[in-house]
Amino acid sequence: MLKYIGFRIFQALLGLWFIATLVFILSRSIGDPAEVFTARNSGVDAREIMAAKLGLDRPVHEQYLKFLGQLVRLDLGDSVSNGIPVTQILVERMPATFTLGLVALIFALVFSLPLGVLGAVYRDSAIDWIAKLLAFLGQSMPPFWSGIMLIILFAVVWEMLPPAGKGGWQSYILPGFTLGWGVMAGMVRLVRSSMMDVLDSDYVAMARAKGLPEAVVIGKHALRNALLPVLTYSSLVLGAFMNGSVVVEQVFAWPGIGTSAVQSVVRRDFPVIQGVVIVFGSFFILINLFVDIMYAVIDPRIKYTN
Amino acid sequence: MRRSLLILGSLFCLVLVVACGAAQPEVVEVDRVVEVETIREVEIEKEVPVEVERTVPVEVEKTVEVVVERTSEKIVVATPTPVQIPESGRLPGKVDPAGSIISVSSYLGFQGVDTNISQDSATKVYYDEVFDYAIGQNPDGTLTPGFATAWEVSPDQLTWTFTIREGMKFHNGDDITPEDVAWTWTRAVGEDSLGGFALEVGPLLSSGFEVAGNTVSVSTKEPQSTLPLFFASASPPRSVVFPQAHFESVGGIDNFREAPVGSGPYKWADRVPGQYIQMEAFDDHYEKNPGYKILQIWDVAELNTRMAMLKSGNADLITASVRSVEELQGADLQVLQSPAANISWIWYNYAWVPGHPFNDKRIREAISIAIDREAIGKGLYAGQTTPACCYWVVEGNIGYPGDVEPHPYDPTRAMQLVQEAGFEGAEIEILTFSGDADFVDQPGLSEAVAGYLEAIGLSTFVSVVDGPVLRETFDNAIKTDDEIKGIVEDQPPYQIAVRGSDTRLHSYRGSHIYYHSEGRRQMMRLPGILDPLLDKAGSSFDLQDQHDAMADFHRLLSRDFWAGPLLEAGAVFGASEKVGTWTPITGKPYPHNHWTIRP
Repeated sequence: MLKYIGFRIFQALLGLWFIATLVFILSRSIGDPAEVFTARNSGVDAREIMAAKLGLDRPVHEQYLKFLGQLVRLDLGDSVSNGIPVTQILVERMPATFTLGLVALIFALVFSLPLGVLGAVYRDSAIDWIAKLLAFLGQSMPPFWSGIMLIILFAVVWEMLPPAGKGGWQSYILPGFTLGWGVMAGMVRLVRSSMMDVLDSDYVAMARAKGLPEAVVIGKHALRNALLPVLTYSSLVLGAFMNGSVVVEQVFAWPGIGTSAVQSVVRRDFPVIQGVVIVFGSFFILINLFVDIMYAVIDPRIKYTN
Repeated sequence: MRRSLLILGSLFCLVLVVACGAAQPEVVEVDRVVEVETIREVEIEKEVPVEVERTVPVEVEKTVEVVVERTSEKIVVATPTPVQIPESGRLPGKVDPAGSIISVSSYLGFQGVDTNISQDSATKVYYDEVFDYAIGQNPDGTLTPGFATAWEVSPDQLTWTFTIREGMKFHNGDDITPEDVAWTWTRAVGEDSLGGFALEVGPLLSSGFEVAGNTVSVSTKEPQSTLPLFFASASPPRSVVFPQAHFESVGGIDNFREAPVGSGPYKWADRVPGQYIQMEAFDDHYEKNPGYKILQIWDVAELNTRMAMLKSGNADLITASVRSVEELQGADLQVLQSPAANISWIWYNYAWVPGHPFNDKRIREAISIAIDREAIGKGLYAGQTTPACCYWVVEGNIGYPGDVEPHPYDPTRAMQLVQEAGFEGAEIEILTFSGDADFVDQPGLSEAVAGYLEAIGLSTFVSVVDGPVLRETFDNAIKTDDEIKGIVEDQPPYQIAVRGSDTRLHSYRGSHIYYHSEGRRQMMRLPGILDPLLDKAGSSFDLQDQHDAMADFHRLLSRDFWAGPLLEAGAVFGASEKVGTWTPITGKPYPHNHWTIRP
């Protein structure tokens, strides 16, 4: 087991290096940062001066080695648009993105588990159709649209919730639901199909034959076994929430990494872009690593070889 | 299974506790005011500006100044009746609604308050409130004394001297001294600086900033007649002054940035990263008296969200769009405009290269007069734009030629010109980029232009690129003559750009970059045609001469179709009933002058 975990950690580090290299290349391919940070009205050759001051006039391999050296020391450099260390920006913004992702995951689980179970138990009933409809809407409506509609309804028309910003628990509801809705749709289908498989299995039939109450059959014997794929999916979804909240953060003016990422792209603030993408990539790598390790822990039937 | 659930559950709880602990959710403590549908008619008095032009002497130069005289008349408006908004519907924050104003900007970001960093105009949303500039700007765009009461050039035209206003104070109570000014500016042009002063002003200087009495002076390598423009509030934030003693006592910029001390009408109170900056009125300002005690400036990129904030009573002044006017009026909200904030135009790449189709005036004219500017304004911008006559300048700007009309819409003549020039069916690539701060919906505008060009027999396609890519494409200074020859021979497609910009109080420097044969970008190299006018404007120390030379320059661009001005648009803002009066500055597309907001 330890050998396997060590190998997976090595793979994760390799993945991080690959991401860092890719980010370094891409962030220098999208435009000249010196151009952006040179005022348009400049009457002198300011772009070259700016490039020299940013070190962009040095050979690429020198820039790359310097970048990797700093990365190893967890020094992501300073933002070129405000001079603030990138790590400080990420630390300021990370909690907002993380908590929003968790709230969205909670929304998705709270709605999808009962709807999926009920849909499987009462197939083709009204509740099943409602679950299907919610899943259909969640998957078909882009969050930038559903988010704005929710703002208009709950903040403008009914004045129940704040339209933007992060503050008390009320401010989490609209962005959390918007972010979670799309995932909830997929989760409802996953729970429903998983439950249907389990409900058709022999041991559930045996449980019923033993005369156990239906609630015990479903809650204890069926649901627990149907939850394994949901738990796996939830872990991956959490990673996706970390990375996929860019649009929702923009719509709700949420002070997370997503808004910071968009602003840094607009401003060609390549140290921040690099930092954000590396953090996003690291999330996924770490979550995948965690899930892989958990597989080995949870399911003793799973055996890993070298 | 139970074990795995326990592990996962514990992990989630741990993460939740850590994350929530760091998030520091804020508690709203005060009530907020919003509107309801109840509408009543009231009579109020409103000041109506009347513009009168007159010529007045300004410092050592003459200039044309627009003076605003005010009369009053009674008008009838529909006003919403304030009601209490439920606690749950309030914006996070701790603003006392009675004495506060909440302004919402787009893509404000926080670019710090360091003049050693290159900062764009968006930062002026908060810079202009917290800091003063050496030279101020009137609402009509003309220059006025700031913390420098005078700025004069020496007889040899090589040394500029700024007289520093006496008796001014920083927000921490310290006096503003010429030493503070010289220290701040010296730091800004230093070797470690990436700011606008270092990049643009620094290379022009031959000396450091020197203090003598209550003046600060600096010498230039060559006469620089437009140097004061770099010190004006019309420019990106550069000529502000920091309190040297305080700056050094807090350990430098890393700490100063978090709680900057300036001298402007509002003092810095708080910043919530990614959300808002809060300021409080500075009672000891030498001139400016804010109408509201507290100013909170939010950063909200999405227009629909800003509109929702205004409609729900969670904002008082928002950056809107020319397309939002009808919606704002429909919601009984105020529509305020900063006049002539943005202008759009066409550039013709390689028009200066002999043999290139765009070197043929007939083709440039055909393209420009093929476009129905009125129809685009009505169809694309809800009638909120006007056809532009000139490249980069609008009425009130230095160099605006009042006698130039927008290019007419004449598709019949355009088609004839295309046929005469043998240009039928030619392939044209329209390069544009998506930056609403420069002009709203430039991709949409480009598609409209493409449609009109198709109608006169040209083949067009639109390429949406990034701003830097677009500028690099038209930057002939970075291409060798052989490269340009190769590019021209490889054409078509022939490239034009549809782009926009905020307008310029003085268009000399911007025009020099693109239209002077020795400019930084050299989009045009027409030394015998355009250079003399730009040189005349750049060498004269008389503002009226600068104005006349630039007006001739813009007349020539229009007459010979070297540029194709398209549309002018004002910046549109939505406002709540708390904004009684506000004095926006001509040509500013972002919220500013918050201190002039009155109940």
